[in-house]
Amino acid sequence: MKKLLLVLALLAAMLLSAATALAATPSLVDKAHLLTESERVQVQAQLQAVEQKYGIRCAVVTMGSIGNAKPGIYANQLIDKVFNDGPNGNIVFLQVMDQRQWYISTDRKLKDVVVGIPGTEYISRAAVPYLKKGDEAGAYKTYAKRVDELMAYYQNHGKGWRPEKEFPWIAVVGAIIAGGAVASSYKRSLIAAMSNVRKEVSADAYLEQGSFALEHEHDTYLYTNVTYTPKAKQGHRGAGSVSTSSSDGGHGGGGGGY
Amino acid sequence: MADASVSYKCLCCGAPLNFRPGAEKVSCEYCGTELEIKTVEEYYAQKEAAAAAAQAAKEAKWDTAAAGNEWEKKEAEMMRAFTCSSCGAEIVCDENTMATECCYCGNPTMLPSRFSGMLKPDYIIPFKKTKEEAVAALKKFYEGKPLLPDAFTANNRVEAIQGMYVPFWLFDADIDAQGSYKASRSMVVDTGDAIMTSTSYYNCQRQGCMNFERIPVDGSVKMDDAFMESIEPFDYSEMVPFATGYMAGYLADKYDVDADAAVVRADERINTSAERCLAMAVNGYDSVNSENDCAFTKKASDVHYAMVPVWILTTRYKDEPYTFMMNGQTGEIVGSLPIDESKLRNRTAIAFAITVLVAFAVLYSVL
Repeated sequence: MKKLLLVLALLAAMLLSAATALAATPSLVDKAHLLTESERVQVQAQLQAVEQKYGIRCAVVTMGSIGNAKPGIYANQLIDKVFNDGPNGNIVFLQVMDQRQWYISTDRKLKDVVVGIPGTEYISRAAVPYLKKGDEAGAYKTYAKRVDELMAYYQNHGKGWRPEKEFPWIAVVGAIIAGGAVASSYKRSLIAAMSNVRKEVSADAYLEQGSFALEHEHDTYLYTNVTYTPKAKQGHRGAGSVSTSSSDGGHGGGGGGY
Repeated sequence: MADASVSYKCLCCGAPLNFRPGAEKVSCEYCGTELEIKTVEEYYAQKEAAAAAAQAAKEAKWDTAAAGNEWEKKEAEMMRAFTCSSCGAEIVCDENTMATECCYCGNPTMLPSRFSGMLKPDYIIPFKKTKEEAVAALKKFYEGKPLLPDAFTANNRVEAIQGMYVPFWLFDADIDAQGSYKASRSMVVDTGDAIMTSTSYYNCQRQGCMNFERIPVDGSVKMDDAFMESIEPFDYSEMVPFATGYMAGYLADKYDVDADAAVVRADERINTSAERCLAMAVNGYDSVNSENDCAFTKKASDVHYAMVPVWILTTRYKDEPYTFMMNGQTGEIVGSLPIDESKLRNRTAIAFAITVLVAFAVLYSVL
């Protein structure tokens, strides 16, 4: 009985200690020391405003290095182990300096709000250009603003935001050009099939079989042309382009380079 | 001026003689008598000589030149009249007609004065295909033509069908040809961050000899060269020394494009073939392009004058004549059919619509 009471007391102490630790973990963790004090205050305030408005955890973490770990997996672990106390969900923006990578990870609850490419791109297209310019504070504030918009959209519409589909002009024009080319070729073949009157261009049918004999051949080297075609480089994509390689059943989001 | 004419008639009953395609002999359709071509030829050679002598005597006696005032000089030079020996009618034909039939009595008739000297062909390819086979071939030619107007096939009636021996020049040539070609050989290397393509170019000279046998060139201005080349080739193994007996029942023209004029066309075709042959001897390269400087010289050459069999079929649609020609030996039929514009429009529109839909679906999913 004493042992049981001891175990229960230990568990309670651990839970209390963990809760205290989590509650103590601020939503802005600048381990790479990218922000000034005033910037930190501004960003922190904006993140907190979003958190309080929607009952979520909206965090930003900067790291100088995470070793050989993948930013996506590291960000997922942050969601699982650190930023997991938001009643309505959790989201974190991770920036890794030595890899020049960023990653946005969400838990399952926010997956419907910021799912894969559309939602994550909505955030990153606005925020990542600031990272490229070295304006981290601007990037994080933009991130908080976009999360605010996505959450508001979800509350109003009951579903995650999706970009409106543009009219597929390229597909239409391409299809018309292809249709014109095929129809024109088909028309020519139909017309050609209506006549078999054609002049002979050669006398091949009257060449005596086996009569051809090569009497002389001489090949002279003229010149050489050398061309280089660069290979397409992988990973060099546009600002804010998103890879969802670390997205899984329990996490949403995506990331990329800057 | 009238030429003498000789009708080929059965030596037994006097009925008009017709050479049946594929037959070795000339047969009489009325009494069934079969006659050797040589026999008929010798017999009528005498008759023709006699007719020519009679005509010469007649022309010496009568000066018909003064009667040509109503015609322009050029027109008169083109026109020839002859008297049908069967019904006596005077029939006009052009200066190149060697054999025809009387338009009044249908009697097959030869014009012997057109056979002599330079104008006599060396060879003839006898008709193998009959008139009925020509009509059947034309009907088959209509099949599977999606743009053919429905009215054309529904109301189609062959307006005229005529077997004709067309004059051809046959050119034999043993040639030496030479030409140059620009050839290239490419090598592709992956350098890691780029693909390097190295292409080396060479000038390749080739010279060779080859022999051509009996390249046909149409010797008649009246016959469209494209039609005549489209019904090629002929099987020369069935070509026989010329005999007038084969021409009984068919039209025939003598040449009005002489060998010197025809040789230009033969040379063009020889040059193209020689260029191809030499190009095939340029090996070991990725691409070979002619420098278009192929030239040839003839080591030996020969020209023959031959008559080849052609069925000419004429039909009419919306007051427009449509002519088809069939190789009277092989049965190859050629011609141009009318096009139903609405069918063409509809089919093109359907092809356009289907392609647009498919292309849109593919592009929309890819982009």
